[in-house]
Amino acid sequence: MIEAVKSALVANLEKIVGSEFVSTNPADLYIYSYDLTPAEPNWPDVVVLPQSIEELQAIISLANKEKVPVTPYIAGGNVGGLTIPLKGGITLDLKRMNRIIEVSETDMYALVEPGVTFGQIKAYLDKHHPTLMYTYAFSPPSTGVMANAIVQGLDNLSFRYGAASHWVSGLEVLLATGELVRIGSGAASKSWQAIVPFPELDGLFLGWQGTTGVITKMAVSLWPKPKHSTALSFMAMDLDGAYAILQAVIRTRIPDDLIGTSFALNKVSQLAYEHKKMSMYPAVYRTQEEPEFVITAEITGNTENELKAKVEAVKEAVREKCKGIKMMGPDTMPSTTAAFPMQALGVLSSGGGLMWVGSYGPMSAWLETIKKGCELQDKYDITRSCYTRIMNEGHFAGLRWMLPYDKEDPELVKRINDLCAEQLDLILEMGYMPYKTPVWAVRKLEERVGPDWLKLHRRVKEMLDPNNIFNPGRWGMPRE
Amino acid sequence: MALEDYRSDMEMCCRCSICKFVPLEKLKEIQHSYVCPSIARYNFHTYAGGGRMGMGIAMLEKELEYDGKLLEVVYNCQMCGACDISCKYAMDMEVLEPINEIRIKCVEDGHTVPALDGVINSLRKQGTMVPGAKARRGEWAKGLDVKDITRQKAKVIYHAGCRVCYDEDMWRVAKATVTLLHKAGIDVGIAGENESCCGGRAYQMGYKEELLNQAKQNMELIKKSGAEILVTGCADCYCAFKVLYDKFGLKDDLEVLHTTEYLARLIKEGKLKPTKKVETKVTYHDPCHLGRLGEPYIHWEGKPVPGHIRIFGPPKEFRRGTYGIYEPPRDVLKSVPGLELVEMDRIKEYAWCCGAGGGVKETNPEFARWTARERIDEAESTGAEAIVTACPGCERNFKDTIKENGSSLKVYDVVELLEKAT
Ligand SMILES: Cc1cc2nc3c(=O)[nH]c(=O)nc-3n(C[C@H](O)[C@H](O)[C@H](O)COP(=O)(O)OP(=O)(O)OC[C@H]3O[C@@H](n4cnc5c(N)ncnc54)[C@H](O)[C@@H]3O)c2cc1C
Ligand code: SF4
Ligand code: SF4
Repeated sequence: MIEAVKSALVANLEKIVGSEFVSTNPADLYIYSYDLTPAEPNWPDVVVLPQSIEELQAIISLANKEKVPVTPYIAGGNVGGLTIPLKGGITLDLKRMNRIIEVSETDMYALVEPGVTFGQIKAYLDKHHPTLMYTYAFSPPSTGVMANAIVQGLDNLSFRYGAASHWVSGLEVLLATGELVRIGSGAASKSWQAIVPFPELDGLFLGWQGTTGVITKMAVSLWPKPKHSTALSFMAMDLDGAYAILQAVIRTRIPDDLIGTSFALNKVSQLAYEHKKMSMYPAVYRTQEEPEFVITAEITGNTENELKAKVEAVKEAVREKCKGIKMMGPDTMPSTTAAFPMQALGVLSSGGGLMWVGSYGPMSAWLETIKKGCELQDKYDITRSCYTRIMNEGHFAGLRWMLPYDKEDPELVKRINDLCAEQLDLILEMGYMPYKTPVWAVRKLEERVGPDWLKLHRRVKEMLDPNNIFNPGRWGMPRE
Repeated sequence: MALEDYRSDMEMCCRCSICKFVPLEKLKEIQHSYVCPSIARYNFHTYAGGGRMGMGIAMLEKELEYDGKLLEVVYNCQMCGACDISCKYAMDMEVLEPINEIRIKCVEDGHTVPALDGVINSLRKQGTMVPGAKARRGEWAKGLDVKDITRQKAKVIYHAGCRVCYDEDMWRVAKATVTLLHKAGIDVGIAGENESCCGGRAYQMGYKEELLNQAKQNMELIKKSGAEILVTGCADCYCAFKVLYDKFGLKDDLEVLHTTEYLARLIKEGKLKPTKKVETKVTYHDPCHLGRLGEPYIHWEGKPVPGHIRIFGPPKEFRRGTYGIYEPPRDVLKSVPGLELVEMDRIKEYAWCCGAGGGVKETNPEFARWTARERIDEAESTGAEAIVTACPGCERNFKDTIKENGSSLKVYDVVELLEKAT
């Protein structure tokens, strides 16, 4: 950005939010220039921390008038480079807008501002609404509730309810023009219980990675918190067995959450809980006696009897449908739904880098995709580190291979990048779609979709963001 | 060790921001969720432990140039170590060590801030961190019949510290300590005019050489005196003698005790008997350098195992703040008849800093007061009449803040309340 333009911009921003909430200090900007992934870094020109809607409106109007890029930011933890400002400009750090505006005990929703984090909402509900709960990702507690829904996250109630955007029951959005629009029942009433029966305009903003507008309020569903919980785990000796177990459990419709991990990844994570170390490099291969895949079903009940009956029903389903399949378990363990497994962070970021090809796709292609993805990991001599979460009662699945890596090791970085490129081609071939789509995967996806899809996407983007100020260079990028 | 030696720790930072807060499982009240004063006050991620990790890497990579703005971030931090301990709830990485190394690098590269230069010049010239000090170092002990360890043998040496010696208001704490030790029949001496700064605060400010010089000088004096135990009522001095001197191999076998540790021991042994009622409701503030940073140093020498990420041979044990001094001051308070102790939300490992540390009181008094104000508000919310601490640095900052902003809260040192009861 030209220096004179920048100083005028900064002066105006300072007028809007006050100088202590605007920074051009390189030490501040640097932090926003990169993330955990090997994505190419790029610096913003200025970082702004607004607190009110009025401030936000003034910032967006200014940016739109001056055609300055704006990248919304909460914790930058998306593992897809989504908050790296590809075209510089303003990084809009929304963490100061962190009010939990309303919790409706009866209608079971929370209305939150962008900066509200998983940690914050959990602490708030535990204290003020102890019979209600939200659903959480395995990401750190600093993860934004709203950001997670915007990137269609997979959380610990996803087996029941699908991706995080599915439980959004209302939005307030700031458009490039400065207009503030409410979507869902909140548009016409005081209550934010549902998007229906309106046209589902939330789709213009959810999943768009902040490229169409800034969401200023979001209503999300809450659920009653069952008193009893447990986790049931099955260890399959091969992936065919894992698939059979998953199918058996899916058809019970019982769990709250159904996940599976490669045994090696599971072993490393378990050790991390005890602050013990096992590295994933050089590649750890399982011995013949060890299982290949660990499946965990989180089960809850209002009473102990209900919980017991559910556990028994799941065990029975697996016994019946998986005859002849070699497995260990089932074992019951304490449920992890109540806590963030933060100790796993040490495993996932021990070299400063974390990368994955994450995707959503059909259960029908799950077995072949996971087999081929794991074989690719073998080819690159990288520990099998698959992580799957079954979504929406088995209507689709989340699938990714977690790749913590040492940022300081160029050979490893190259190996990881090459593996990811091959895994991306693989998943696309199998009908799995890259989620929280990094820009390199967006471009790959765009090669596969029809030209009319592209036209529609770009038309939507152009209509909502004619000056292409919102997180430019990603979804709906105009042809260059 | 230098900043470069902490590269892999800094690289490990996943920007999870846990270092900004009390870990979720330990959180008591959302209003008191922040544990890092710097990020709570300045908001930009760079001010948090995690941001400082990124900044350290950028400095090594020469992505950032030294300028006033960089130093503003570097020095607006109390070096309270809360980030380090919260981070280690989940992670096995050093946070405070590299933050300290960033400062040492600034000083070594000649980039210092004027307010601290003044303090350090005073240390170099007069052996005290209090520039323009009016009183003489040993003046507080006037009229007390206490041994001079430069001339007489004593088993225990009481180190008062700069913040007591040059602040008349604090003399009563030092006097009370000696009186109590005498009551318990302890053979205690002081170095009086010959006492010198511990060097701990200079180290926090980035002046490593000054710490080493002071440590050598102090240990020489102590060795000569033949004392076996050093007792101090200042958290910074405690951390310097016990942790930093040990870190640099200069502590020998000197036993270092905080006054509250020693007094709690004497009460348990029946050598001190608090019998008089002190009817008051108080809350206790854990000083950072006595609590989480008062944990013994853990010596470790090893190397990363080749081909592995962050696995060391031999395995590295991390200081997580668990073994800091938390119970002795509380035990002393609980021994006082009539006294009711109530706890704040952020305590022990996750205590909120008083605001004075890391040179902030010198470089940015407004930030020091802002931080103290947060703690005073937290203390008030417990319904206590007084905030009690175990460090003259914390006490001074609380008092200055109350004087400026007002509050009915009283400020005491643990020792004062024990003296009243004994
Ligand atoms: C160790 C680890 C484990 C993880 N595990 C999971 C997991 O189990 N499940 C899961 O779903 N995710 C997981 N993640 C990924 C990630 O944390 C989340 O997907 C998360 O939602 C990102 O949140 P954030 O607050 O960091 O958002 P950011 O990265 O700051 O933002 C995400 C996107 O939303 C946009 N945005 C943010 N706020 C707004 C707004 N108000 N308006 C418009 N656009 C906006 C940003 O521009 C960006 O494109 C994990 C991450 C890590 C590091
Ligand atoms: S310093 Fe530790 S707690 Fe803070 S962001 Fe980095 S890894 Fe997370
Ligand atoms: S040492 Fe204290 S003030 Fe400094 S970054 Fe860490 S927590 Fe914040």
